[in-house]
Amino acid sequence: MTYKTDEIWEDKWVNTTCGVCYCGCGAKVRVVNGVPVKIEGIKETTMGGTGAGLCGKGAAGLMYYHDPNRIKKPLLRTNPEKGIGVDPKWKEIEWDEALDIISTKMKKIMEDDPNKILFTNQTMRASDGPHNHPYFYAQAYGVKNNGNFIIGGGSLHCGNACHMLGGLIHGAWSIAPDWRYTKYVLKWGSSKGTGSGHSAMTNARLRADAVRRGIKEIVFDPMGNFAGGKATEWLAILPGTDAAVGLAIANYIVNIRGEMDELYLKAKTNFVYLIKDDGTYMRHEKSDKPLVYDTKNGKIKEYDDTSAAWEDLALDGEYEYNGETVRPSFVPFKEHLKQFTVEWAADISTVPAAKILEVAKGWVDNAQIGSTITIEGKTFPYRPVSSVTFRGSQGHTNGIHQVAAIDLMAQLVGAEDVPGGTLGWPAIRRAYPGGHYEQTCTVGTDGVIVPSVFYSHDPWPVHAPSYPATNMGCVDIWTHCTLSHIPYVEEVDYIHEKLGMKSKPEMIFGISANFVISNSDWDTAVKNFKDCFVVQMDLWVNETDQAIGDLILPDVSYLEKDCWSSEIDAFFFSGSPSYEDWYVHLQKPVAKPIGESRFFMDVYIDVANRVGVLDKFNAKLNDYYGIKDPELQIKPGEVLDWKQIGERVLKWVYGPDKEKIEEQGYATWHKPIEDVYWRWNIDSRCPVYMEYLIHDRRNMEKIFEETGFDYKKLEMDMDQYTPLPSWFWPESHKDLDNEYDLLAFSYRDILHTNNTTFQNPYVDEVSQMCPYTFTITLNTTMAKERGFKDGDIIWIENKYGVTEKGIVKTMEAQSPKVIGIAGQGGLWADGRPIAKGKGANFCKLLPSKLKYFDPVAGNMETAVAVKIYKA
Amino acid sequence: MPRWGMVIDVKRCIACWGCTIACKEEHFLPPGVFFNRVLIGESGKFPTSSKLIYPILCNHCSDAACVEACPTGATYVREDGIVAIDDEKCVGCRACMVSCPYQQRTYYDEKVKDREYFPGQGKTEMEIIGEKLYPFKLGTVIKCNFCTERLEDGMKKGLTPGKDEDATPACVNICPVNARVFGDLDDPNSEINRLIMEKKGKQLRKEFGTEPAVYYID
Repeated sequence: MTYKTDEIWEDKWVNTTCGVCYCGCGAKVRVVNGVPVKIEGIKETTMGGTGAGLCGKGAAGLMYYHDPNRIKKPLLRTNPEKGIGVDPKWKEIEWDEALDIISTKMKKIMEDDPNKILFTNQTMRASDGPHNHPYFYAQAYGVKNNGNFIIGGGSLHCGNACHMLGGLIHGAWSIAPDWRYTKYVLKWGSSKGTGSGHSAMTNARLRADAVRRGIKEIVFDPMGNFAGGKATEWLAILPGTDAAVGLAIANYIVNIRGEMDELYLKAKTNFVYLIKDDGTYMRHEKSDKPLVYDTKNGKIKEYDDTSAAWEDLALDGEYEYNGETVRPSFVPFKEHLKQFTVEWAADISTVPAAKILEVAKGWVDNAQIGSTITIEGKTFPYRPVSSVTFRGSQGHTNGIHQVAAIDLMAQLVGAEDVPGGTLGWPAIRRAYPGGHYEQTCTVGTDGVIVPSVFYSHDPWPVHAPSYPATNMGCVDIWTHCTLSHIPYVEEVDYIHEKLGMKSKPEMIFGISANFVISNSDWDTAVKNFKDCFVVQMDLWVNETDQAIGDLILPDVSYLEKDCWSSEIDAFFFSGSPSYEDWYVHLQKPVAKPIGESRFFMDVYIDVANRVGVLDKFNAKLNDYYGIKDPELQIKPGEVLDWKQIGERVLKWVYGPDKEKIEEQGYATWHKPIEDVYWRWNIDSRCPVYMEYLIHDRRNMEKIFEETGFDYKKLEMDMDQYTPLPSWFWPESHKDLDNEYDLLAFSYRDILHTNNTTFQNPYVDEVSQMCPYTFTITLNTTMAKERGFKDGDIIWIENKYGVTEKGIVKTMEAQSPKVIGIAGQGGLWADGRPIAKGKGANFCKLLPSKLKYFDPVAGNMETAVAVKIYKA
Repeated sequence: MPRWGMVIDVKRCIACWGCTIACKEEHFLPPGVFFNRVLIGESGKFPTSSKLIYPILCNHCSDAACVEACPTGATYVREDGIVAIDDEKCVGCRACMVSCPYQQRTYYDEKVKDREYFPGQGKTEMEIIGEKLYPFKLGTVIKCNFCTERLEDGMKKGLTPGKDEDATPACVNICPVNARVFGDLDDPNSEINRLIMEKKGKQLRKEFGTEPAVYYID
């Protein structure tokens, strides 16, 4: 392939899994004389087997191995003073000493309360390692639930509200359009198919095919860049106002056009459930099941009574049950929508009313309500319209209502998990032929789907808020947080004191997290975590490590890792999203570990063994993979490393094909079409009417009253606990005034995964060629009016006096009322010299008071009112 | 004899820069040297402006300005259409760099060779091995060669350029959205000719009259 010389004694390709973002594409690496020199995609499997490759940052992943700044031995802080700008005065120590320090501390803490140990997940470099195992690992220590998880690199900007509703509606972590069969796609603050989101490149390939087929793709976004720049039509919208447009479209569908998929609403939603005057379900006195009205024989029945045909269930009317007046939840919903006119939505969002109307019409016209499609001899309802969102629109204090409103339009026309509509990542993972490990969703109380696997805690059934809070995240109270916001909140001490949280954290055991600079206000993050003993496993000393780390352990990069487990359990967000064959890629080491670096799973095992909880962890693994074969189960007292555990699990999961799959580095097998378009095959209902929020509110207000927790003083908006998707102004908009008159927002650049990629020199030089990646974008006309031009250095300042500096790049395709910043730049760790000083840091501008977080899902408000001026 | 060419579908392209980086790895290019780049800009005015994305590389023109400009005959068009540089003949005068309307050429000298990906920290093992595996001659001009070695090695094995990855340029293989198609411009039945005909493929700055072998469709 290239010129050979006599000095080349080895030139081979090794199949593995890309570890640069969380998508886990198949990757093969050229290794010459033991040195990895090139990365390509695996045509036979990559993202489902149609011969595509990798994105730029994936191709650039080589540099993780070659970076001379990688830490090579454990580092111990010798300077007791912590903080940004303080030299930790690292001292290299031996692994044995490091593990001894960790296990001794852990044992001491556990004698008191294991909930005083925090763990981080690892979305910073994920797919670069097992996904779900850190959660079991924490459980082995006796940690109660996910409240002890603090976020890794994805930060709270990521999908709490999306995941919550993804779980409740689709039994999945994430959603995507059914690119194969759709005709009309609405994207809201999301770049699915154009570079971001789960299974990003799979979606990008599927989208490219769809675009070539001639679909229409309408993007609502503050900027016309990755998603909007590629759309059929980009509509500039102010951050956090998507719900207004979504609700106006829903109103158009229901009250103006009056064209809905009524059978879907009757069969697949809780709009037929009868509610009382207080909005809660009327339930059967014995079974406690919600009730419906059968119009055929005029009787009220339990919702799952098979004597009532779906089409006969009432969506309107008023009925009597045990002396109380009840009505289908659709009745108040329909009335509620009437206030949301397109003109009203236009005022809020800046999207012209005529455009909203045009999109609403396009939506209904393309929905083909009532039509069916036959694929491979099987007939499904056909709804070729899809409405998807992700990080952008849901990252606001009204996040849950944003996502609910965006989902609503698909509900109304029945475009959920049917061909052409919005798909969740499959809720069902069939076993590999001849192997085991099958995950199927179940149907829980009130007919709502329960995902087979979900990170942190199941979204359904909803856990009732309870006192006292037992962990730093207080998820006992904020039950809908996938990962809790409370650890980052400025008023955390007050919250803990009032809510009886006694497990004040003393230690963090983290994997490559950079939460000090990647969430919100840096000073609050330092204040909230600096008193903990912070242990991190990392490639470099990052900003968090430098500011508050006590002990940093050298981790291997994905190129040095033998990780059989990367994706087996990640089917619900990292597998093939659509009607594509299943794929799982294994991570195989292509080079020897750098220095004394060790794979964090092996470090986990070593520490668990020293602490005395390894048997518990192993038992959880046996249980998770459902290993029934006694030969393969891990037995009490056995100490196996991650590779040895893999030998057993892979045999269980892939059966006789284990060796073949290990050798080729991936597995693909057929996905039944019914598992993709499952909506009408699983008898479940979407809780579109969010009745559970009424109960949550009651429980929370009771706890707040009893404890004296003054949520009003903290401006926590309990009104958002309402069952009807509604409009609430995002907190950032409330801060706008004559001085702070711009909204800063951030977006994901295709080149970057959070902030790790900033240290990659290939990505760095390409970023410098891209006009937007390292700059701050302003609308061209707005910039001119304010006297700014390309190349100007400006300060951005929020209302709390936090400032960040950056370079101006003007852009036509941006709303004149916003400023855009890509990702998580503005880095300063000495251990990452390539990253240092590149781009600007958006996160620090986000205030960390409780009022800036979604009171339901815990999303951070990821827009902020700012002023800008020349530096 | 085929005449190699490429079609780039800018409608599919999402500007991920995979082509740029895969090319750098394929040819072990030092920092700051690119055989493949992506031009990003926009046209029109708010709110109806649109983003422009053009992945660019050597156009392998059949009437190449660089060939005309080269005083030593180092740059020439091969029979298969690839514009090649014979580094034995190149004297580093750089007339080709000035003449190329597409700015696709780089002068390789000590200064370029000495660059490090981690400045001041020494060359990585990859950079060191790259200089052995894919040496450039100091004082010459370098550029995209449509991965000539890959094509030739692949064809020797009976593989088909544009179909089999071991006989196809690296930038085509890496593309996650299948935006690049490689093939024979002289074969009327080739995929690239079909795309050029059906989607009205355009050459960049056709008015320069150099007859590029790279076509764009949208």
